[in-house]
Amino acid sequence: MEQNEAMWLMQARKGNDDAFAELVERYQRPVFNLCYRMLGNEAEAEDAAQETFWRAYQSLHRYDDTRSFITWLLSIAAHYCIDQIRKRRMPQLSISLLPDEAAPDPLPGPEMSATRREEETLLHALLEKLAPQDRAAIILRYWHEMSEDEIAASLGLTVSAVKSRLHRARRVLAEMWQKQQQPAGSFERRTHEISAV
Amino acid sequence: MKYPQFEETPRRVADEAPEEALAQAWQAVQTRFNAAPMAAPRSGFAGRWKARLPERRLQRQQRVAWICAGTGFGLGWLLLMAVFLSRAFTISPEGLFVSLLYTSAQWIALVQQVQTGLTNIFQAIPGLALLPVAMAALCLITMSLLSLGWMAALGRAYNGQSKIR
Repeated sequence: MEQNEAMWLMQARKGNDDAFAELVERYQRPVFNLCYRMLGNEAEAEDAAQETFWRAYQSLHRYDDTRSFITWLLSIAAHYCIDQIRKRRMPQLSISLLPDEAAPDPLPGPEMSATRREEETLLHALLEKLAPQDRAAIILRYWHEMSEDEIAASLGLTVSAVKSRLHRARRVLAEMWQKQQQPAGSFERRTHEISAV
Repeated sequence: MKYPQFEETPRRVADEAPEEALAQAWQAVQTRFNAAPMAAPRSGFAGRWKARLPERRLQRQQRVAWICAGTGFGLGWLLLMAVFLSRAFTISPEGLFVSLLYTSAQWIALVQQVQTGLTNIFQAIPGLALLPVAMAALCLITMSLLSLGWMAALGRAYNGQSKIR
């Protein structure tokens, strides 16, 4: 654990809100990214990330120093997002119908912005088809480069369960990709165009 | 991919006879994942978190207070039920029924006594006997409501003054 992080944690445990705010500042991006990839919506991701930090703040006394702090945070965020997805009883609009809900990461120029938006739409359309826990496993693996052991610890699963979930998720994603490419090859052409840009 | 199992994945998928196309599709997806950046929140995220902290604390305190009150009420209710049941089991069901009847009869007798007392008071006031009973009851209710309103207004005025101070 880095020295600053250890110091902020120690001070935050003593009730120093500024020290915890430093931790929020430091880890906002990975936590937000996980929430955004899980929920596919910037506003919901913001709320989920804020809630994650609040939950972490409340249960800071239960944090085990031997674990990585970011892994612990991502575990809280993943569980919260999985719950949120399960709670969604109302019929949802497909994310692919919402082009304005793009990644908030600013890029130079309107063309690049549109490209990024389209890429994000494709990614969300793919991730959306996965079961919540499979989605979390894939995101933790690909965006956060977690090992299977870490994913297992974060999601409260066994390593073999994580392996099987990842395998299933990859298969579903590949099948989805194939299906999307089939109709007149338009999807493929579009993605090639995106890659060329 | 940084992990060996990811490098192996396309091979594993391809091992299954009809699925070479799936392996290629997976590689395309994988490329997309690798190219996608980490999404970042709008600027001022930590500030927003800190700004909401007092509100969240208050909400938590309120929730704890409600939980305490609910638990207290629940425990009180359970205690009452326990006392009632313990008493109910010490006497026979017939005894309990008789006791309930007796208590009901006592209440009815009390209401009748109050009614008789009020009638005597009304009869003692000269001229009131000439008024029909419904009219007298209406007057009494109106007077009571007006008194209550007056007291409430006084209370509000007093509270307002103490706040100004």
